[in-house]
Amino acid sequence: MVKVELIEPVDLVLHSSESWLFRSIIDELSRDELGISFIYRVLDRLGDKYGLSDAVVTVAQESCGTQAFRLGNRSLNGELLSRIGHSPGLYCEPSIVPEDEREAVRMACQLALSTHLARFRAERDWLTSISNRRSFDAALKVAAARSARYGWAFTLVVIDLNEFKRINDRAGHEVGDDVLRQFGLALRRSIRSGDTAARIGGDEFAVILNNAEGSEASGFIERLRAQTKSNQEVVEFTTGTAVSPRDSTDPKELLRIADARLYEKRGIALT
Amino acid sequence: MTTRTDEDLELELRSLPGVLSVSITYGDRDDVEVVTLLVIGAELDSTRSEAHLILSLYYDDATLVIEEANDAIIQMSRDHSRVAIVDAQLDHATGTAQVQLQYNGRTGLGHSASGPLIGGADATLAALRDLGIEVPFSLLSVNSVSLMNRWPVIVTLRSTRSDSDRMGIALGEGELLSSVKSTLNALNRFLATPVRPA
Repeated sequence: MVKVELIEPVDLVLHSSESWLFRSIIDELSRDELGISFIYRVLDRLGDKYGLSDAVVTVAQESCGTQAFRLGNRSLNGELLSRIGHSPGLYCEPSIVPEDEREAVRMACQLALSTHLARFRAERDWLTSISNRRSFDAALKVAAARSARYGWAFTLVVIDLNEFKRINDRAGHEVGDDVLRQFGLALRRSIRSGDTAARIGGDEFAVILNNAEGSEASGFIERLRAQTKSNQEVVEFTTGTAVSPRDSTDPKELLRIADARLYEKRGIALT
Repeated sequence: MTTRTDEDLELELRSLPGVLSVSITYGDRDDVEVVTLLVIGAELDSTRSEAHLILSLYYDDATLVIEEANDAIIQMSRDHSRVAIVDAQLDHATGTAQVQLQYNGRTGLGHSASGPLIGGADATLAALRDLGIEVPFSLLSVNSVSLMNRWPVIVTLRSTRSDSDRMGIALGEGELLSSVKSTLNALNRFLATPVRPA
């Protein structure tokens, strides 16, 4: 479980009349689930409590800007927005929710969005939105443990971009960042549901292909090559693979083997 | 049913520039069918293509709908939701202040026979209530203060629900208008929240 810290502390003042809200927050926090769906649940609960036909909570978040959530996850349109404005707060139809409770709901929703964003950032690489090193390590540990215990096979693929330093030096870091972003997207489009793609270093990536014993890896690499060919800046890459449990069931050893195979390929390519 | 994956999809879409709202519609088999974004003040084409890309990473078959709430709509909403002073008059014979306000196209009228300062603030609160806006504040004090040869008015309001005070300061043409503006200034944050008249 990834421990998150709130990016934007929220002053949460709850009165006894909103204890249901407080209990819900504690409950979701303890299950590491405080997030966007909590906002919809709070609106549902409020809707039931007061018999609301409509409700929109608007919260301000530094990195996402203003965000509006509507009762029942219904879509918001410009016409409704023009009536309610987009200042932070809670709009209800009919307007019968006491001001204190409206404010408490808004703050709770702000807390939920901030927590979700913090959790997302703790697990994902900031540039590519794929998993970061920390969550990759955790996923590899879990996959290796399952492989050791039940014999479930998986393939670890490590990927290194070729000549990435030259791109950075030639075109600048902005283009370099864009190359990484595009590559991250290509990875996300190439993996199957349930696989894990991560950026584990500057221009180093890794993928865990679950239930794959080697042959699936070549299919994945083909898909990745096809995806990267459509990118604006086409980059070549080198891969190294290790298969668990055949090669090892130790995460560090699997990484070492995959890395060694990658460097071996690179060595052959360079000579 | 919103899953953790769908939550992350929604968060990624909400992180795109200009996206204000995301709505996910599910089909009969709980599969994501339509994703609707409300976008304001952004480069729409770029947001649209990024949103398409992100959605395709999660659900290849889902339809993306983008609604644009342009800046004109937002500006209109700001203008309409702002309380405007239509008129402020003082009957010098009786000391009665009369204040007329407008909000969302509606007009509210308030009176108070307590002179331009206290009467102005009282009449403003009455006009707001006449508009149907619930104002959980009572008038605590009205003071005219000397400031660089001018006389701005400070109005203090006390919440009827807690001990918190709100203060406003304004300088208008004459004591009455200063008092009205100062009262609205004290309520500025309260009135800016998206609360509609009852």
